[in-house]
Amino acid sequence: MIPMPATPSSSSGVAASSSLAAKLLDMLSSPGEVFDEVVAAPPRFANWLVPTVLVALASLFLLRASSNEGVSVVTTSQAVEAQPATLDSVTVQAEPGSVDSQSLSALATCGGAFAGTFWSAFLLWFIGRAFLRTRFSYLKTVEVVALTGSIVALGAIVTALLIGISGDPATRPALSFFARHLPSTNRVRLLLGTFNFFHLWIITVLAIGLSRLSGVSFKESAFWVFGYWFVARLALILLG
Amino acid sequence: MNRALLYLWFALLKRRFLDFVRSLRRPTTLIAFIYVLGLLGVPFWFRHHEIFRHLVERDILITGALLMLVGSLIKGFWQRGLVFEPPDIEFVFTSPFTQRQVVCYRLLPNYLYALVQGLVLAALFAPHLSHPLLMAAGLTLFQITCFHVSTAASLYAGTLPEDRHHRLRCMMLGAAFLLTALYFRAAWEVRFVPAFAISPVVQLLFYPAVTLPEAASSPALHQWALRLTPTSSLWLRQLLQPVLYLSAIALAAGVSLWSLFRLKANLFEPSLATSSHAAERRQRLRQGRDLATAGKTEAHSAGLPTLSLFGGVGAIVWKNLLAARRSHRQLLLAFILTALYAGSLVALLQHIHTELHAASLDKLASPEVVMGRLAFHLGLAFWVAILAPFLQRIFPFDFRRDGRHLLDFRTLPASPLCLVLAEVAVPVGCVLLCQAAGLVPLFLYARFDWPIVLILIFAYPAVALALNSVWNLHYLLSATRRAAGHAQSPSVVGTLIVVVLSFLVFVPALWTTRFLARCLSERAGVALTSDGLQGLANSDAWLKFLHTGIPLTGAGALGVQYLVDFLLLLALARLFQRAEISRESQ
Repeated sequence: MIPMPATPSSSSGVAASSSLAAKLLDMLSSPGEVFDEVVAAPPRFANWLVPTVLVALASLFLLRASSNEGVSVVTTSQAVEAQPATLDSVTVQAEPGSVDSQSLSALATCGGAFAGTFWSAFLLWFIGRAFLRTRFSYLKTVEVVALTGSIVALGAIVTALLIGISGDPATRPALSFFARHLPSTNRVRLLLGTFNFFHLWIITVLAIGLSRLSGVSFKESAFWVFGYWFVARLALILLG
Repeated sequence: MNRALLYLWFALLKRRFLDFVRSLRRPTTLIAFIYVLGLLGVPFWFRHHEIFRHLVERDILITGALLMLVGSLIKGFWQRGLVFEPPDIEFVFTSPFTQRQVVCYRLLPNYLYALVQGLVLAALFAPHLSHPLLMAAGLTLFQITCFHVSTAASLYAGTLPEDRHHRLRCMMLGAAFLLTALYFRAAWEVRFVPAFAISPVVQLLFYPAVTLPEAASSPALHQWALRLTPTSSLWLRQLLQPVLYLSAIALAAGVSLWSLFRLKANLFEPSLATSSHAAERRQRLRQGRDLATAGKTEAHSAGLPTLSLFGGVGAIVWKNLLAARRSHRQLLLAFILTALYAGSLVALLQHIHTELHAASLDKLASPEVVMGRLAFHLGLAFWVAILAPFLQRIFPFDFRRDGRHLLDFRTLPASPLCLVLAEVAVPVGCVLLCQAAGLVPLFLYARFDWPIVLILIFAYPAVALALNSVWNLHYLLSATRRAAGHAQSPSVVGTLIVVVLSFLVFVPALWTTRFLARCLSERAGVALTSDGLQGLANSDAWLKFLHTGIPLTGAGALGVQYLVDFLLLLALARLFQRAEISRESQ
């Protein structure tokens, strides 16, 4: 008896393996096909490393653009976070525009890209395992999440350009763009900020990825992915 | 609704009610029932209180109704199909009833529950309602609606494939939780989420749908990073040290697991033998038999006793003594406990008396010191008495072991009182023997007056007898139930009752002590207060109370305690006599 492959059967008509650059470009137009190919192929180290590095570089570019426009400008949610209790609790404070602070931000950005990739992959894998009752490889999930990095990178570049045009480091490609006159702690502005075009795109692509990995319908995977990455964020703002 | 099903439901309900009433004869069920009644009775007693008025406010009622509805929906959807009794599946399902009739039959108990609940709640909130009956009817009908929703959800869930049902169940639970939280936030201003949850650092949890530099530039992250810099090396050291320890322990755990997995030993054969042994021990424990002899079945035979004391019912005493002699584990345990107890007691006495010898004679003769010495030595006597409950558990030579022979004992030509006395004699004797090890040095050091010595000598058997009698009531009841094929092991509630009872049996004696001490102290001209031992204004009166009052008080308390012991033994004998242990009689 011939053993069956462990991968899902959704990739019956998969073409020959495309290059990583092609995959990253195809993610913008036809992510489902890219995921089909990734799911069918054996795990590849470059599939998650290169997109994650790309995200880190694009985020560094955005960080530079933000710090150039306004060193001491506090973004919307940072304003919420910077409570008086936390500000006076530490004896030594870093100046936001200082070299140390910039290095730290750059380090955190790069670290966040890698840690975030593995965390999101874990979440998708857990949703599949616990709620959808399907089993798939964690490494494949890491690849799927990392490949969405091309959209993340594009979003970072667009955001940097928007910041350059508007001169406001808090500008985002979100509905909050139309409510810039509101204070940054305003709940409505925070809510509108959640409707970020690129974030919604990424979430949709993640839902497609989960659907391909688990073999469940897009509706079901979208419920969980949107439920966590979108509704839970909205709920945090509304309930907080 | 079919009349036959209605009759069936009514007949079953009647039988269940009668069964429940009969089950109230069991003390544990009765206590649980009284507890529930008490839980209902307390709010009913305070039903006019202001808090009950708040509970029937519009907002609370709406919240409660929403929670009930959502809860019913989730609870119903949680199970696929309805739950029936096994006989219902066998008889009702195969009978010519329509699906609607069967569903109605299944809902009938729920309707009754809704009615009772509506009436109870209406009675509870009646003082704050303008139309209590209307409220009761409304509550009942709303509860019935919830039952309908729940049943419909269950039936719908039954039509779904199992995997799909599981996924939908999780979705429904998540959505219900979110909606409930939003409702509480909107209606009651309840914040389930702390303020830091919308900080950029927390937003990292939603990667990749985040703007990374926003989180990376967060002040909180920078502050946290600053604390790790060498400028605050103390904090860093404090963090690093535990991390280092934790890492070392984690490494040790990992290495040991790796070594364990690499161990090439046969797992199955030794495990089989050990498991069998453990199962046998568990079985013996359930049957109330001794664990120590689980592996031993052989013992040297002993010669017949020559003393006439061991004739008749005394043979049981002899048998238990023999069992005690052969139970090396119990004897060793008791010896260790006694040695530790008596050793610490002697050390304490030696230390205190060395210090007393150093004091001057005038000081030793003062009433404060005399009373202090007496109180200290009486405290040590109490300390020795506390040994009894522990030792009682160690010596199982009573109905714990002989519970299996109840049927044989019933055929013996001995009165039940003599038999139960014989049963408790050996553990009581063993406990007293161990206590003597602590008591003898105490008497030697304390040099009590002879009336107090006599009282103490008689007090220890009273205590040991009371404890053994109470616990043997429990053992006898358990043995009876076991012999009748009921419970295999005693219930937690039952054990708890026995523990409480083993304290309560001393309450009459303690109350007598308190009463006599107050009377006699007043007569002697001494005021007994909490700091009475310190404030000795009238030393002659105190000394008079010491030499006459305390012995008389002790004697009175002892008399009451022996009376209680006698009553306990009578109860034990009565229970032994009346116990129905044959299976046919149940």
